[in-house]
Amino acid sequence: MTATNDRVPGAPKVLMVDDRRENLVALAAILQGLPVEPVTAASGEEALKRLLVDDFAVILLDAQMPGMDGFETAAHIKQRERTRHVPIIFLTAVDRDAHLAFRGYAAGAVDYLTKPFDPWALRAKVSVFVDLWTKNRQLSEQAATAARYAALAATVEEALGHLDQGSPEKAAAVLRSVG
Amino acid sequence: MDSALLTLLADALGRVQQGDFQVRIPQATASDQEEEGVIDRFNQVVEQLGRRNQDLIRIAQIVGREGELTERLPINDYPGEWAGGVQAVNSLIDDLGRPTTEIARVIVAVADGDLSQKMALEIDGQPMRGEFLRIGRTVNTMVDQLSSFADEVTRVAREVGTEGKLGGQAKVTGVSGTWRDLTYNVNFMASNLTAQVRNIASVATAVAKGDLSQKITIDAQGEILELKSTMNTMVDQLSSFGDEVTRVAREVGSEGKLGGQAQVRGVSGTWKDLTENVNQLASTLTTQLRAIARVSTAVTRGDLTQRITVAAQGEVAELKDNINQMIVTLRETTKKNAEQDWLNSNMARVSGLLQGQRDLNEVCRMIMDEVTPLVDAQVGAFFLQQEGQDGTVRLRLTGSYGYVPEGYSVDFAPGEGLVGQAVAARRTIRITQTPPGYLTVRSGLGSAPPADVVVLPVLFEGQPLGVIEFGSLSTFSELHLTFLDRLVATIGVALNTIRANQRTEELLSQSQRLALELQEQSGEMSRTNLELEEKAALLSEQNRNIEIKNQEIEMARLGLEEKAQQLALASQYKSEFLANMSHELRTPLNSLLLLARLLADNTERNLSEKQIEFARTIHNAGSDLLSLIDDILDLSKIEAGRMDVEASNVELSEISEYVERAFRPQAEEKGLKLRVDTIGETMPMVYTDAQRLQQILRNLLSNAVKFTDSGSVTLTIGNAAPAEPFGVPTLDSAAKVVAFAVHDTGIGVPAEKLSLIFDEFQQADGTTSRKYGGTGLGLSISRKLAQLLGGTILVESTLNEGSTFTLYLPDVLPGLPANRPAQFATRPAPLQGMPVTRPNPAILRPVSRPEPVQTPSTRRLDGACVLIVDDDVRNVFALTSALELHGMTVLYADNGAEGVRLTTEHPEVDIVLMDAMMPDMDGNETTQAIRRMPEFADLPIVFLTAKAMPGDREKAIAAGASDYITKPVDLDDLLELMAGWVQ
Ligand SMILES: Nc1ncnc2c1ncn2[C@@H]1O[C@H](COP(=O)(O)OP(=O)(O)OP(=O)(O)O)[C@@H](O)[C@H]1O
Ligand SMILES: [Mg+2]
Repeated sequence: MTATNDRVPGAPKVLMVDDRRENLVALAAILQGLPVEPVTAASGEEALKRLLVDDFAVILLDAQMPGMDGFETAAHIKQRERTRHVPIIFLTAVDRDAHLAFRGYAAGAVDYLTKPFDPWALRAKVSVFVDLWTKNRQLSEQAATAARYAALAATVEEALGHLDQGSPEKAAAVLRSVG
Repeated sequence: MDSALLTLLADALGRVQQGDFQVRIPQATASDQEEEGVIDRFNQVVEQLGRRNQDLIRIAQIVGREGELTERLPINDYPGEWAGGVQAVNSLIDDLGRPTTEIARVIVAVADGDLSQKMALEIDGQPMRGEFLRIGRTVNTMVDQLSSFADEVTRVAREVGTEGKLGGQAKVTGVSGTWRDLTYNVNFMASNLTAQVRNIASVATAVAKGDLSQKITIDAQGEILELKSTMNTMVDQLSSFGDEVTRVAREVGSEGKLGGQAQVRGVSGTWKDLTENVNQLASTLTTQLRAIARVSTAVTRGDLTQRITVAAQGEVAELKDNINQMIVTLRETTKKNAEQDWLNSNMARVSGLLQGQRDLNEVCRMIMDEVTPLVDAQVGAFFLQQEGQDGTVRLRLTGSYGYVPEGYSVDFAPGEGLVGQAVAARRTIRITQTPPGYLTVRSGLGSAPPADVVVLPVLFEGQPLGVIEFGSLSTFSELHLTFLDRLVATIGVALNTIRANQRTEELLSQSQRLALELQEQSGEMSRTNLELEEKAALLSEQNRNIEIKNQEIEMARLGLEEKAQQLALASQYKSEFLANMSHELRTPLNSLLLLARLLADNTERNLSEKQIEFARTIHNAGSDLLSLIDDILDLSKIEAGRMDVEASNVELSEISEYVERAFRPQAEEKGLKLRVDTIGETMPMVYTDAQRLQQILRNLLSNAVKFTDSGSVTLTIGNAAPAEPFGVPTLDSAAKVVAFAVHDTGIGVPAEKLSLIFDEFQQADGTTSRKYGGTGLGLSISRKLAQLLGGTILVESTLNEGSTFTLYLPDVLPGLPANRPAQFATRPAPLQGMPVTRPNPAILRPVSRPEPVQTPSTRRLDGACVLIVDDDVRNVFALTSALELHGMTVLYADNGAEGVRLTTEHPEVDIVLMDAMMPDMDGNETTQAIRRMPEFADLPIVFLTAKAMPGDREKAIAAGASDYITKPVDLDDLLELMAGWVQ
């Protein structure tokens, strides 16, 4: 759907949503150098479509967009189990309207930046969430490995039991099932 | 039969052959009965032959000799072959007889003098031929010539003989022989006769015309010759007689030699009598003419007393009577003329006297003096009609002649006396027998009653003007009476003219008097009028001025109203425009600032100092622009009434912290002291919009720092002294007023500029912007924000010493104004013609239970892979989360083609949920595409579609759909249905 500028293979993905192309370019520029794969969407609808297909470490969401705006998009994201925990940073120009920020937070934003914002602040925030994501990923991978080891140990245990009971065929079968 | 008979027969036949029809064979010769029959038959035949021969002879005799053309052979007596012969004979007679009859008919007619008959050249439709035709033509030619000859001769005879047209000649053409001779003779006779008659006629004509010198000269014979000599003798005698009579007539008639006598010699009888008669006539004529001449001479001399007394008869007697009558008439006419002359000359004279008269009394007197003697009257009186004051009409004696008044005023009313009567009846009255004592004509020597009195009314156009009375001792002559009649008419005209003139003069003088009076009056009036007019003009001028003023005012008012409306509208538009524009400007600026900042930071460490400087300049300029836009945005928001105010409890300690944080670095950079003081024991608290409050203070403080080069900037926060009224209701009615005073030791503001600096884009002087930057919006926004918060900003300043800008706020933000202008939409409304997203019902019914409930079917679906093909991502997202909750993996395609691709790429797909309606490739087409691949023949494809139209389901099934469910989908139903399809 959209091209990303510097694809880092296997890197965590950042979804950037803004109806203005130049803003997407600026966001990509800000994230340049971070170990992330930026993915852009020009509308709320497109963001949802991307989310149906991919997992993302963080979402940068423009609040004001024609059609489905940032708040509605966030609401959809928050309703889906698989995406509800993806951190959303709202970016908005309508800073003076305090209730917009409130709406943003209410919609589940982890952060709310008003334009013009400090690019370094955004970069720092994104990298924090990306780190978090990576950590989580590692954590779950470790958990999975641990579980695998545990299962293996159990299987080995079971095989040993069979051997103990003098049925080596059964033991072999059990071991084979694990691969 | 024996030979004897045969011999007999042969002999008899031989005689028959030679024409002897008398031969018979005697019966006695017959030897038997048979022979008897033969003889009998032979005899009969011969007899018959003889009889028929007789018939032919007879018919020839009758027809040929006797001319009986009607005779025919009796056809009935001839049987067999005979009939043909008889027919031929009869028709021969016919053919010969008919032309003969025709010729006879014509000849008979000619003989009878009928030349109009002609021979028909055909008989019974058969044209004549041969000799007959020739004869027919000849006869007809003959008849023609005869007829033509007869016609010509008849014509000439008629012309010459009967009608007297001489000179006629017969013209008969194509005749010869005797006929030509005959014609020539007729013509010769006709021309002879013509010549003789013409000669006699010419002589007779000459005689009749009085030419007695002509003689008949033509050759004539017989009777005509006799006539010729008689005529010539007559002409001779006539000529001689004529000469004599002419001579006498010339002498007596022309030359006036009366007494001449005709001497005609050698005449006798009648001619002699005639001559004597002429002489008698001449002498009588002479006598009569001499008598007439005598009388005529007397008349010529003027003697009208003569009469012609000579005896005369006939024409001369008539002449005599006529002359005598003429003399009488002449006499009468002369008398009449004399009378007429008298009448005319006297009328003319009196009329002349009347002309130019102006005085009625004078006229009456003059008439009396002139007319009375003229008509041989001895007494005259003139009564003038006069109208009294009371309107009564009287006839008053105005002039008289020879009249001796009786001593009382003589006047009459109309109808009174004869004078009154004459007026009333408008008729002349004449009295020839006057009663004694009626009137007396008196002279110095004696007196006598008049014999005749005439009373005449003087009228004009039927209206009486007066009466004239004349009395005479003798009777008035007709002439005098006529004169008087005519005179009174003239007098009437004259009197009327005088009266009219008098009336005109009166009127004239009256009108002149009136005019004079009027002139006097109008002089006065015009003076007052003039004054009035002036006043009116002045008044109307004033009125008009007022009117104009009013109109001007009205127009000005209208103009103002319109301007105001336009202004309101314009400012609304402006604000709206600015609000939109600022937003539009701001948005791209954000990314520009971001990128410039990134560049300026030179993270890649690959930019030169210059480039970094550029990037920084871009960033700074962009930031300035952004803040300007923000200001404009604020201003326009305030003006458009769209600035939201959200009140909260604001700790003033927070404010001072903010100020410290924001302005300390700047102040220190400029070497200024910055202080925040709080008056009073405790830090006051306000319930207001913290953001706006900050914004105002930020502006005031940044100005203070900006316009101060040395010294200090102080913010003092405290309760305002309760004594001063602000003239701002929200402040005056507030329980407490908090004051935020920003004091500096800067350049100050000239007093006259103090009110100006709060206006938009206004700075104290033209150089400010150059020296200090800024646009002059800060204060106007601040003041407007302060108003929004129910407060105000006041300023005190001394040039070159410093300024104090104080913000006063009520401690509690008052309620928002009731009539805030309606908010304007920031986003433009969708343009017309833009596609409107079709109303697509939600896929899922709102889920009341957030937690998924495990059922056998959901358990079956756990771990299944589902492909959703649908373009409406909102719905799909919701459905996906639901399916994922039940342990399903969801693949998604937003269009048909993508769906087909994903199907082929993911063989693990257990079931497809297909939206029926999609742009481009719809559900049916996509399904058909999938079904075309054999490996997916059994892949369950469930259709999701909006309210089913009849036939939709059938179409979907036909396209290859496995099942069908209607949106919005009940999740449980869907899971149940899906479980049915997933193994
Ligand atoms: N503290 C002050 N001392 C002297 N002059 C002042 C001070 N504050 C304001 N002024 C005068 O009032 C003008 C209007 O001030 P304002 O804040 O509206 O505009 P600005 O500061 O010039 O520009 P901006 O605020 O839009 O950047 C200033 O230009 C300056 O001339
Ligand atoms: Mg300012």
